[in-house]
Amino acid sequence: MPLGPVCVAWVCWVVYQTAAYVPELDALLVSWFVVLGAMAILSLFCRKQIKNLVKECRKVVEARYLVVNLPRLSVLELLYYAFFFLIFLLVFYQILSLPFLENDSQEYVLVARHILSNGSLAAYPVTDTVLSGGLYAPSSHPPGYVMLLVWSFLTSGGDSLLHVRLASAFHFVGLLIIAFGLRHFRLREVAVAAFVMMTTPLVISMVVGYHVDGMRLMLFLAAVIWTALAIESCDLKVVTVAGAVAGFAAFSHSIGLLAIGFGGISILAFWRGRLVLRLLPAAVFGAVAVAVGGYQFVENTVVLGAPLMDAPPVFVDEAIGYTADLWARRDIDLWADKFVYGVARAWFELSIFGLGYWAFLYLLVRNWLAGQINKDLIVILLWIFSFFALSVMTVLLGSELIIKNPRYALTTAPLVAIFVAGCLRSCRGRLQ
Amino acid sequence: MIRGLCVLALLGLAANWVLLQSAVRIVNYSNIAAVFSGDERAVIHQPRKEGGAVYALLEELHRPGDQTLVFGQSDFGFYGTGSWIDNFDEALLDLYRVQSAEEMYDRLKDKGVRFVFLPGYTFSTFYNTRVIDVLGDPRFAVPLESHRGFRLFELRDQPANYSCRRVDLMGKAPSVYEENAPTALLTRALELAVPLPIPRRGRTLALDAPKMFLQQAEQIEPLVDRPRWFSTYKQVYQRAGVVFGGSMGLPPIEPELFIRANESVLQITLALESEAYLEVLLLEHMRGGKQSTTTLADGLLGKRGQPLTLQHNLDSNVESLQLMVLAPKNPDAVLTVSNAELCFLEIEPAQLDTQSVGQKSQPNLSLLERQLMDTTMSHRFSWSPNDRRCTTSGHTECNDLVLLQDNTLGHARFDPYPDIPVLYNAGMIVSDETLSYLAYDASLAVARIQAWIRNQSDSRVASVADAIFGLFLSNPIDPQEPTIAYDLRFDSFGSADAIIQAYVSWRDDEGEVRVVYAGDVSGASFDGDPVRRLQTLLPAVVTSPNLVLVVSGSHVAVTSASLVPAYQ
Repeated sequence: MPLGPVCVAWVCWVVYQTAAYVPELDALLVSWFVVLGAMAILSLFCRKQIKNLVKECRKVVEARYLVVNLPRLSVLELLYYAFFFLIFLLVFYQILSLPFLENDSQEYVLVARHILSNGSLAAYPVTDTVLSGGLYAPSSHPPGYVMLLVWSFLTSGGDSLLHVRLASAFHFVGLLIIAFGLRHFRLREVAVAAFVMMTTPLVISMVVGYHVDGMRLMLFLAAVIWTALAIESCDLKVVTVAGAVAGFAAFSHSIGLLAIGFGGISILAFWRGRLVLRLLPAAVFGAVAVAVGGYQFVENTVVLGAPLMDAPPVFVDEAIGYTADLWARRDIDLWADKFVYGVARAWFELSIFGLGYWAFLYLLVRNWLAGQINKDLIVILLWIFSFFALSVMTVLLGSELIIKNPRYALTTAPLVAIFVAGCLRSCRGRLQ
Repeated sequence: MIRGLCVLALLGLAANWVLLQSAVRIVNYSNIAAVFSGDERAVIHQPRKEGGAVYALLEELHRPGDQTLVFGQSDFGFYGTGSWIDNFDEALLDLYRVQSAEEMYDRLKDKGVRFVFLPGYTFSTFYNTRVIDVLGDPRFAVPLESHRGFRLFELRDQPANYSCRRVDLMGKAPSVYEENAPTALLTRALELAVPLPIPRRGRTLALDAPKMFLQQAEQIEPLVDRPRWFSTYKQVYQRAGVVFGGSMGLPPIEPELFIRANESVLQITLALESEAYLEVLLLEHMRGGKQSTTTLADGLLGKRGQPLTLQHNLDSNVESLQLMVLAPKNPDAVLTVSNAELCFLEIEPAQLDTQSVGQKSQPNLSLLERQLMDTTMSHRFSWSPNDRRCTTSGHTECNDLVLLQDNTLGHARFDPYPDIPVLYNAGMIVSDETLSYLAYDASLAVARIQAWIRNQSDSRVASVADAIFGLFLSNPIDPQEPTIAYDLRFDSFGSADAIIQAYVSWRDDEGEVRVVYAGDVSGASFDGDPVRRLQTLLPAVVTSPNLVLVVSGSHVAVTSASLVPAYQ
């Protein structure tokens, strides 16, 4: 269910991509049919998981656990739930009431409107300023979120941004509850993970301000969860779905490309049997993921020479000196800066990353020593470590690509939250 | 129990950032009615929206076919009016290579550009090209509006001549920006203890830090010297920011930095050398004690190799200004300032009509007259329990307030009146010796908080706080009560680096102390008239009101004071 919007966006992308060649295609109608088809295929593939998810979601909706146990909750637990619901309400109110003030959220809307008015993806990335009335957006990121906006404008008439807000709210809820997909996660564990996520200030400010981040964080988290499920089930059908989810993560945002790589590494590392036998599921995972979400990266490689390209000619003009200005502005000149406020910023910028990463470190050491980290958590741990190892490597190679923006480190925040919740469950018998 | 409390504290700590940040966002920006009505642009009319006034003005001035060169595309695309050219558009590459402001102006006009929009920061496409020269030159461009860092310029239809009042800052006493935060001191101590570069963010190390640091700095860079007089030799600052015209937070000590009637545009010329990221900030001191800070340019400005010229429109409420150059990020910054000049332009009569929307009406009044008009509840919040005070009926009894030592390193001492008591930093003159200070402290604190809150006209937090405040505190003057106007007069002279705040207190029927805030004035003497005048309303039944003057800042003398009914 949480993957619904990205399926819509993906279908919308297929239709608009096709519309560049077949302009008379009725985008709306075709999209509906393809979405329905995709959902049917998904439900065939993973009936068990969906059944489980629906069951747990019903629990949330009914709030059965909380209502039944309310009289038995301690003051501490009551306060915890009070905090939880207060933040939850605040987030929703902000999503609905705050204007679009952040650069990225505004640019996505402008680009989506341009694609909508143009009727196809032929004008993406937006570099023809005569056609766009001045809009210049040469970033060649995967268009997942943009296409979701196009869909929302298609269905709302093009002016209202209410659908955009609702999409953000939807993904936020999805982000909080998708951990139900993990085998050992019940309401309490999910609630703990949700609390850690909700007390990471950057998660909230991104969800309410940038809008795109709810989607990309949720899909990245979904990718790791499905990868863990695939490894646990040793079933190629689940690997296929996991590959599709990783593809959706890559389709939603450039950083989602990591989901494909990390997922492949996870399968190679943890799939049962000899290494040679692990190559098949890894290849299936990778092939499906690239098929679903890799088009933009392939196109970028063919057209621009690299899978990711975010450097219009003005950026690389030496006389203008844009890059030097940017690094000086981002304040990561020194090596110590690069590591403390770049690679490890999640631990040192408390006002935007909260306490979750410190809890993660503490619980990691404690549970590791106690031997209480199960396979689900090991997969998640591998993804977190892979991300930070990649950060260190890129810094050592002289690139600030991953550390330049705190939003990139934020990609690991939901994973950290799940890990914290999982570790607490392992250590507290009454939670089991 | 203890464990539970610890867990609870952790939960609260974990949630606090999100709750606080959410509260600020909601109070400042949220507008659910606008969202559901579909009017997403409504936010430009909210005072907290950066650039709201700029967008509103552009909406009014924009004509079909006008192009805007934008340096913040997304926000402009969302809230602005008309078509635009983005500063990163590769079609501008040729334009960026032109070598003179004249040619850049011509090329921009050829492209149909009428407006230039700047957000609260300036990328290198602005300061490493001739765009900055065009916008900084009054012949080519007029700064129309600025709002919370966002600025709008209009390119003139034809280049025009201009004249202005020049102020050379190189001969003035600059003061070094000082950071007093204890964490900064801690970091400095760490720096000395640990021989490795300590990572730091967004702060400026000042020269007037502890002596240990000075020694350390001198070892690193032998060129370092305390800034004293620019005109004598080229000054080099290490890890420093510099404020031209006095201490930061207080009005300038140089009378030339006070705005004269009809002066509405400021041109700044700065020659900077530095490898570091720099910020050029304009500190505007408003009538009534408010301050506004605008980032005029930021980036690797010292590597440009040519002087910067910048223009800024002055709001009619601006009374005086200071200029500040900071090197806030690079810990090894060396900043050299070899030229700093201001140029105050009067608004041109021909522009009064066309730009009346952008330039708020500015009556042709002297500063003294403008001060006299200021009878609002204006306030500068600088009172603290450490304020020195004395009770007196004349200045001679306040000699104990004279502090001779100058603790602002690098700040040239300005003391032309050695025979007259000078109140330094802070003092309070109370005409009633019998009142207890405690009662004053409490009443003054309340009056000052209320005044401060009411002075934040664009803050929704303040408007909410004022309403909440009003629930618990009664107005010192009952609205139904008959009142009499009183004139407050006091003679003062000295530098402008001070604020004199006037309060009037009395005891009501029940013996309770009541205080009203009468206003504040600068300590400087303008137009040769040493008399300060304010007016306030008091209940008619009050028979023996007391005048309370709180002096904040330095180098000012108050020689006499009176409080009399206006009809006398």
